[in-house]
Amino acid sequence: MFLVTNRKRWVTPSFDSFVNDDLPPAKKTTGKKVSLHTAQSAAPGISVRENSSSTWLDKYQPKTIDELVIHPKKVKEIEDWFCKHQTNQRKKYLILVGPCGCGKTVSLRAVARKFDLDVTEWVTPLDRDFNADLHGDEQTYQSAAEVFEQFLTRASRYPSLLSVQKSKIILVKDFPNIFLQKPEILHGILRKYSSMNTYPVAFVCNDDNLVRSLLPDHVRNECNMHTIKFNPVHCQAVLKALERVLNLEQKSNPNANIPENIDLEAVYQSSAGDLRSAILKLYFNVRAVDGVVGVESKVSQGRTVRTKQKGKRGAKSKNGDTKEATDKDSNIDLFHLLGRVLYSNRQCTKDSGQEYRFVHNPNELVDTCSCQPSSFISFLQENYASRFSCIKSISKAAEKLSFADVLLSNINKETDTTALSVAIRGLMVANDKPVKSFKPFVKAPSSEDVLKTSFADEIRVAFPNFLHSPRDIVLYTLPLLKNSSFQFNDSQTEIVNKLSRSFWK
Amino acid sequence: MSLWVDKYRPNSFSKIDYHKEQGQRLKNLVQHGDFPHLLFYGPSGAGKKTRIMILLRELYGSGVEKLRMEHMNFQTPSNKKIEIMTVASNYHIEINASDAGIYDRIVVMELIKNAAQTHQLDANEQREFKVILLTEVDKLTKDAQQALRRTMEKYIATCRLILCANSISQVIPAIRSRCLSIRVPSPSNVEIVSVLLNICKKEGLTIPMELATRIAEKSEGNLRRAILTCEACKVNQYPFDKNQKIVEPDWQNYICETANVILKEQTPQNLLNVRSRLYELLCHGIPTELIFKYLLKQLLTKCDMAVKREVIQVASDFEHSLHRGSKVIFHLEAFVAKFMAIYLQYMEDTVRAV
Repeated sequence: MFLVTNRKRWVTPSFDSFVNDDLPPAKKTTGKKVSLHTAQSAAPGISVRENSSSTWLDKYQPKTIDELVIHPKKVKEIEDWFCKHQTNQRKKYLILVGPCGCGKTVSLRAVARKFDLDVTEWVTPLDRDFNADLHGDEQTYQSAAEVFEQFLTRASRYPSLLSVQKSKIILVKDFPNIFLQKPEILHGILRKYSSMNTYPVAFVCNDDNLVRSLLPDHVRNECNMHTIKFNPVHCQAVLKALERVLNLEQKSNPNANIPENIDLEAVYQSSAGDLRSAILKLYFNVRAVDGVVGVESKVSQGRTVRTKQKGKRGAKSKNGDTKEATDKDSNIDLFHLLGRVLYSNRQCTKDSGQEYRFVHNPNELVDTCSCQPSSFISFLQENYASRFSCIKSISKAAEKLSFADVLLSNINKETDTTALSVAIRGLMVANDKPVKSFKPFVKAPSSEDVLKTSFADEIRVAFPNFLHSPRDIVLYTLPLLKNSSFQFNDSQTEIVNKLSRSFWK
Repeated sequence: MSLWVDKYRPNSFSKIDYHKEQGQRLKNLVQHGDFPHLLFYGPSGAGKKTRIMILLRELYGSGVEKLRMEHMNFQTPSNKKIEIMTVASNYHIEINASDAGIYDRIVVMELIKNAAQTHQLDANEQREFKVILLTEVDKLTKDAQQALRRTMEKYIATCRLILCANSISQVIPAIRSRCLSIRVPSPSNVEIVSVLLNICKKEGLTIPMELATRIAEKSEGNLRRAILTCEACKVNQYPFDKNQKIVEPDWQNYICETANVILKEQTPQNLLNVRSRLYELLCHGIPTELIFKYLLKQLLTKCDMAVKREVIQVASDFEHSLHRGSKVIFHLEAFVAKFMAIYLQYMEDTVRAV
């Protein structure tokens, strides 16, 4: 909901929150975005929320701080920042980082509402009409960075016509691609903007690395940015939120068939701390069961008691069908996966102990591996040796790893998964007596050949006889001559020192 | 001051010390002023580069010896900038494309395109082609070699390629068949000894025959190494003594020590120890084939006849897979682990038999 530009006018109007559907279609925002935004941050007058077609996410989004299920300390942290901002105008950047669906934006909006601030969100224009941009008489092409800069200044200069609030906060969730390639541009804009007397800006992002590359530490210090980190929402909070949604749904729509037997615990399990996905799953479950099972309307208190009991029983309780249907691809992180491969558990299927099966099916491990096969195999290679108790099993495993590497190097990448499978199975089968004690996993050191770096050029410069390649010099010339009283010049001595540092003890 | 290796490098085909017949043929080849693409191959220190330089000198005169270093910049499709150092004279350009790692394909293509698109300024006086000298062709990725085969056909009118490699087995057949392959075998010990005696005579030194023979044996057919060793011996102690200590490169000792570490104990913990030593070797630019060679050599000295065959087979298997694969440490370590297992099994069997 940003910059609705009509090309025929010579002034570009920038009335935020003033997006109506009757404007011509050549918008800088997609239609979908527009409706989403009106739903989320619309001024009080527009009531899209009561529309029954909108999802539960919009319908039951917490409006006040009390409704939030985020940890109170986090909310307090955001509030503190707002207080500080009001006293000290220099502090105008806030960064919220955390995994998807942990309530970053929702808490920000709720706090903003408490402080009586309007929230204006930047949306990177997607459907720009490039032909019009190029051939239009009155308007020339603007880079995404310029548009962003204009947005910042305009949004802060002119308050929305529709809103009653005096002040506002600018929300940036969506970074134009240009900033990913050249973060310096963003830094420049932010520096300029931070010196102006304007509204605060909050960056919301779910990728820690992205934030680190976009806004490195020195920029954060320079511009007085405050970072708040969010964790995945914990179990009780998710359950509380789901309860709340169900209760509200019951109230708002007493005729709805809300089934009794939804296992909130299972919903939580399958969403892994992602509140958004949990609510969507709940919705799906309610709709899926709706009509299939004849359900009698329930009083809300009854439900609360029931789930509490379930909570006590623990995650073991499963509601077969719903769980199957809603199970998110459970995302095991790298270290769990490494652990499952390197400390493989076996179950004997027969009393003799000869036949066994793995607790974690190698097939599933291959499927759930979310990182590049080559990097995962490197991790395995670096860590496998210390988890074996016997050198003979290691040799079997090492052979498989070697074969996996051959498969990885195949020019068409189709064999990558095969390589992963070979490595995982090879290690799991070979490791018949895993070491029990736990050791931390380490990353493979970079064993980059010095001659593949700029060091090779240094050697070329120091030994200006071109008939020797740097490798020859490293292999023969230096080792043979350095212990003798041979006269090297300064740059050559430096090379010798560099080469023998921490080496050949 | 220049090293003996450089000082006494022959600069014409009449002065080379060995493979004289081959030298004469090369001379005849370039006398007609034109030649096909050439692929020189042979072990290191055999004199490939020396012959190439003599060849260029025959072609262009002493101007090829005025060399300068240049940085060339290339840009990958993903906008990554690569800088490669080249060595060039007015007539030829030398590059080690494998410096560019996985981007060597771009380097090879761009370089040849650039060089080939400009003609020689004065074609009457000079040859109408330039020479591009690519070293370590066997280290190029298969991608780059495929690219090379196409480019070398396309630009044959304006440039000739001289490729230089240690082993031809890593060069794809398509390139081998497009080039005249010239094998430069390493000199025999007798030839090395005579070269050493010659050099010492020119330096005004007397070297005992025994010492020269020992140096020749130690240097394993690598003439560069032999001459350097001889010079190191001279700096260390002169007049020469026939039982004088001969310096060995420290990495070679390090590999031998590593082999002893392997033999001492066959446990997972020790394997990790060996791995860190292997990493050390690799990041100091020691080629894997040398690591394999010396490791195996040292391990075999302590092995019983019964397991030797198996060990050698395992070593060759893993070296083969190393060339097919990409991460060398996997294969080196697999070999070490396999050796440890074989060795341990053998030791247990002998103990049980006793």
